[in-house]
Amino acid sequence: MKTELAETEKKLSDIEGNTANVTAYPWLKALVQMNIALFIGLVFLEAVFYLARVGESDHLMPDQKLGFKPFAHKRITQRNEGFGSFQFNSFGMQNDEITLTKPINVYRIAVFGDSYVESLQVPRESNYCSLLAKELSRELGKPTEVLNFGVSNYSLAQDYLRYQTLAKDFNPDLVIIAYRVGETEKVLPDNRQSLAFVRPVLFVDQNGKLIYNNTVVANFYKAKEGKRLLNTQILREYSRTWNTLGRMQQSWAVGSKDTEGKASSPLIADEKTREKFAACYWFMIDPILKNFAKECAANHTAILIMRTPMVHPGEYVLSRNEVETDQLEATAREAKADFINLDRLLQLNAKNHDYRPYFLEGSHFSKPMHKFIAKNLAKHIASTISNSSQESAP
Amino acid sequence: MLFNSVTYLLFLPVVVIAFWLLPNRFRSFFLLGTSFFFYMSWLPVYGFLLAALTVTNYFLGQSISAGKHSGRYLAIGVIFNLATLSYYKYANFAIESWNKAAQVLGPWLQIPAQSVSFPLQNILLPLGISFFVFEFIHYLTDVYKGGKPIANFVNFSLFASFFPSQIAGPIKRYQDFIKQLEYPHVFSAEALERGLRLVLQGLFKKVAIADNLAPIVSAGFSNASALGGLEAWIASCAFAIQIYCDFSGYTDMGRGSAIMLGFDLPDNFNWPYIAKNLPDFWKRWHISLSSWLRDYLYIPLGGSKCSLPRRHNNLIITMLLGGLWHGASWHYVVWGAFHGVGLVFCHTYDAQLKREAKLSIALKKFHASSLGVTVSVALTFLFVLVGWVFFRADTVTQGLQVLQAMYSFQSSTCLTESIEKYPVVVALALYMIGRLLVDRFESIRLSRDSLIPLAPARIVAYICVFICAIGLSPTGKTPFIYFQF
Repeated sequence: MKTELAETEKKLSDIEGNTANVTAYPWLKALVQMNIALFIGLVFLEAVFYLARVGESDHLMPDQKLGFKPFAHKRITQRNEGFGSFQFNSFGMQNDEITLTKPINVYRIAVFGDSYVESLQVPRESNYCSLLAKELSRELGKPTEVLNFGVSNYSLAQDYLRYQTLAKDFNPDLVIIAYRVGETEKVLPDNRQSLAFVRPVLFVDQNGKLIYNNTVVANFYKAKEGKRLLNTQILREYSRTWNTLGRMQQSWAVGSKDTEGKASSPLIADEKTREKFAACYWFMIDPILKNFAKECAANHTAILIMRTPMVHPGEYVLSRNEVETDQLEATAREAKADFINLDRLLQLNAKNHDYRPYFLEGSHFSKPMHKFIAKNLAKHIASTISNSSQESAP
Repeated sequence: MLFNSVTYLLFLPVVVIAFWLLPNRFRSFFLLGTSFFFYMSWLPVYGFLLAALTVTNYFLGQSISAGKHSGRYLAIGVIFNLATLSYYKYANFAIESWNKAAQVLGPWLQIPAQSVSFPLQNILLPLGISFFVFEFIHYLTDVYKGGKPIANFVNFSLFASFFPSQIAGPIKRYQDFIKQLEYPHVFSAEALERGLRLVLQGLFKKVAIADNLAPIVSAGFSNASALGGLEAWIASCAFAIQIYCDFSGYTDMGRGSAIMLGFDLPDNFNWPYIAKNLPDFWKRWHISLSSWLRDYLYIPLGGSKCSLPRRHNNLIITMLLGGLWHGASWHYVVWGAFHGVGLVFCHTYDAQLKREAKLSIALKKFHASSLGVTVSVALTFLFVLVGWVFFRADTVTQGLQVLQAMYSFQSSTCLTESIEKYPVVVALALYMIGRLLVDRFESIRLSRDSLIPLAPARIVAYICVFICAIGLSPTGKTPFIYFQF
């Protein structure tokens, strides 16, 4: 009995001692509680944002060669213009999962371009790459795979580099280059401190040879914003809370309106200036297209240059720029690449020249436009294939 | 300055900290200054309008209380306030209605419509004018009835311009407000936390729920002619939730801000969608307005102490004017009339029950049963929902189109993209869990409080709620619906 009493007394004194320790360090208790609350809070936020598909719009990661590229395997939800929710595949493509080796008897097409090809504004099954695969499978009578290599804000130079670093390993039968007349704006080195503008430049020497220049890329990743992006890459990839906080900071930052304005408005003031600019800077675009076509030919891949229609955000008037279109067609001819002018086709097809149904508010393609492109592309490709098979027949 | 803007989220903590740091004698001056700053940050020139109305009503109140010609001063005051409100709110509505009437009647009376038409005026409605004009009328009337006027001009000005209730109420009663100004405010951490919690709750309701529902409602009503049955119901129900979350969210933020400054503002909502009948709904929805309409319109008209037809007449007039108060548009008038007729029906039903004793016992039993309560709540909600259709529609025709669609069996896809695009389901689920489970049941609330007993942990919890609200909100600022009234 006595021993039991002594034991109980000892236990009580231990408890008192512990309590005394805790009360001696109230800040420690507060700190522990705060950390536990922080942990639970973060888990709660991540769960809520996962369910709500919030904080998933950030889909670009730094890349020392290409400037930037999409995250692999990342779930992306885009709400700014239209709505799209996707899982990027293991190659960082806006595509379902695919194998590097081309399956037997499959016609494989690789499409290059910017956000207009990437098509985050409509469901994946409604974008023109998916629709083209379906249409062409029917027209050709064999399975067709259309690989979407479109990346938001990519320049022609980045498209070419992506072909070299990734796409050519897929052995496509056809490469399609989607070309908007806004391409000229991406030709020159851009010094804006934002990941979406970090682009390497392909200069051309006197012999028409391309020279890769990564000054913009290297400078960016040495600067504050570049370092921040590199250091926070894991958070940007996996944490929806982090991305939400980033969005909050962006929209609340003083002078955020100016930054947004710079990012969304065209650099070239009007159509006339654009025409002059295109005429001047074609000497940079022309060799990239020709080298791209040459390399495709060396890999036994056909190439198709596609002039896609373009409007400015909020306007529903087609950006004409005949000078650039003519130059594009001439380059395609010289490079022995196939050419299709969807802009002209749209002008012929749109009822009363009303282009509103074809574009979303921010100028990206709406579902009817994707349908229109897929239908015309499929028709064009099918007829080209049938013509070439007739020519090659004895 | 919007309650859901970054500016306000910076403004409020600065004001709260400075308010509690200042000696008590300077606090009223400080609040008055910040309230005018708050109001003038929208359009500085209208600060002068508010000041002019304040000065005039202050002196009118003093004159009424002096006793001589008090009735005349009251009439002048009421006419002056209503004239100001009418000019800013109803001038263009009157001109537009007149011009339309001239177009219809002109050929019949052989008068060219253009010769009797007036051009529309370029008038911008001052924010919150409907609310502070009603507060002034209440003040003058109560002083006339023998209430003690506010002697201190600063206190009177603060009553008129107090920023947490300045733009969209609640419509305060001066007796309650002034009492709070007369005693020195004592800082309370508990009150500060209670206020913060209300501000966060209001913010969540506004930005995470109401703002996510707004595009769905908008898509529905703008495509009224193409809406199918199911989507018409979705759009209407979405608006019922949107307007509740928008307005009660604003009120929560206003009341929370006031509590943080040591003031209590009247509550405006008490679970309105579980009202058992229409009179019950009006005791739960926009309480400060409905009680104002009762005290300063319905009762002066004769209220319920008169013959049955006159009483019904009073109800319809009160609700018609209540509808018109919301906006200078015929669809608001239809909404008001609809509620007026509904209230008349409820009163007639009650009167009938009292007369038929046998039937009364059976029906009372039914109403008291859980089935009866469910049926009553559902029918009341259905009635309110139909009313909301007219309230939200841009025109009466559009309202009728939506109603027609609600009773059709066609299908449509006007809302599919908006429903998919906005995370409203998650936001609503979170709110329901928060309100229904935690706040309605004492045991859950107690276990929540024991789980996070310390201030640092609570601060983290509040920050998480804030991030959650902002994260779930759509991009771009949406003003509160009641700002336009």
